[in-house]
Amino acid sequence: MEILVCVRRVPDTSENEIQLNSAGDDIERDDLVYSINEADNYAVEEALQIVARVGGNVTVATVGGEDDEEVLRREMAMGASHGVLITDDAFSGSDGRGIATILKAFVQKGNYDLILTGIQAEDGGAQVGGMLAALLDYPFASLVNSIEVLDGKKLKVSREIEGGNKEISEIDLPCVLSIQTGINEPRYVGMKGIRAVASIPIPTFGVSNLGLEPSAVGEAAAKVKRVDYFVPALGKGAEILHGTREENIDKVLELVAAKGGLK
Amino acid sequence: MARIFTYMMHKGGAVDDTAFELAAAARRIDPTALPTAIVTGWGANLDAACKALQGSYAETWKIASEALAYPNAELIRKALVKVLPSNSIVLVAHEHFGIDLAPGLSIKLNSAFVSDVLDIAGVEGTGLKVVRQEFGGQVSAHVRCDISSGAVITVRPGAFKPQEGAATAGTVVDKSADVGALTA
Repeated sequence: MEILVCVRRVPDTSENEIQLNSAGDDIERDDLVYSINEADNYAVEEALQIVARVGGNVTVATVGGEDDEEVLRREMAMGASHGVLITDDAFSGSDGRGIATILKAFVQKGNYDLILTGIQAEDGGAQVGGMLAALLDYPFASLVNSIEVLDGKKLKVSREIEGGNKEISEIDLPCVLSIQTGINEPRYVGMKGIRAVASIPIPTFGVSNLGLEPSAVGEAAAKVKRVDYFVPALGKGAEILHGTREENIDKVLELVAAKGGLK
Repeated sequence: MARIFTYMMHKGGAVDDTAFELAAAARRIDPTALPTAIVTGWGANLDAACKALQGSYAETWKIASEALAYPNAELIRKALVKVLPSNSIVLVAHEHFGIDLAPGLSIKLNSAFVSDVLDIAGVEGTGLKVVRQEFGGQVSAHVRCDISSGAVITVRPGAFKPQEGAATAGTVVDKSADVGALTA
């Protein structure tokens, strides 16, 4: 099975305290620690596990700049066969639709059976996977938390739905799935693995070799644009009960009843 | 201002709590708007959901199909594309079903898409300004969405105070014939 995993390099929220720049139009990016978007890493691991079971190759691709090669090499060190950097000045300022348009053009250059994305980027909106599927007219499932290959043409996938329940479906290949975190346990990547892929050339694609019109992507085509960032005002916070267990139970019942939660 | 629609989830005939939150969000976009609810499904449960909405929505569009007895985002997207007027604003709850449905719907409608909206700051010209959270909620962002060719917007459940309208005798419009047969 040929699997493409779309990945992103993002500021690591577990390593950074995100702060605004002085103009308030962006976050302060100078000293940020970047890493692969967490959900994308699960998607790569899932792709590697599928290939281990049924054979094939895993390609990781990202839309970005030179710095983003770092996450491609990390995922290649995990076991991905190929890394591809999709980069062009014309891509700058693309919204979710623009990114999906770029990825569609790249997908059509290959012959992928399965395309995976993470469910959501740290600064994203759980959108590119669904948009890419619609542009390609491929079936799509989001929040996927298990994948079983039924045969060469179908997958059995489960999705996380409300109440902690699972929805299990069959989905035809080729398809796009957005992967929920926790679907697997991503493997550790050591320095030895990183060094092993450090000199492998990473091919690049841009507007011209993807056959894209520059006007179809980038800031000019974007219907959605971030205006500024701000720090949300703190709410009142939680009320802490300091009584005995029995007193607290009575108080909780009283509070819930006062809000109409108990009839 | 474009016409505003809200896609309603329901289960066993009971409308999801987000029904009235989406109505509130619609009125933040346009205080004079009378949003139209859209409900899909099949049988008595669908009819019960439509009835439940009549008290709060002036108009509810019903799309009945046996193929929609269990909600399937791909089929519902096809149905919505057939009935939604061009340039519509469509609000959907940002939960598992909305995440499946909404991004692809925006592509098929050729409209803008914004997800997981927490607040709506207002409309200036063709720009709808909304609030989203990023980086695990450490910061919020104002985002401008060009609604000149419509928009699909997912709204975070719980972000808007539910707005049950003054008791109205809303009408239910059956759009099933406009959709026709649905196949995957």
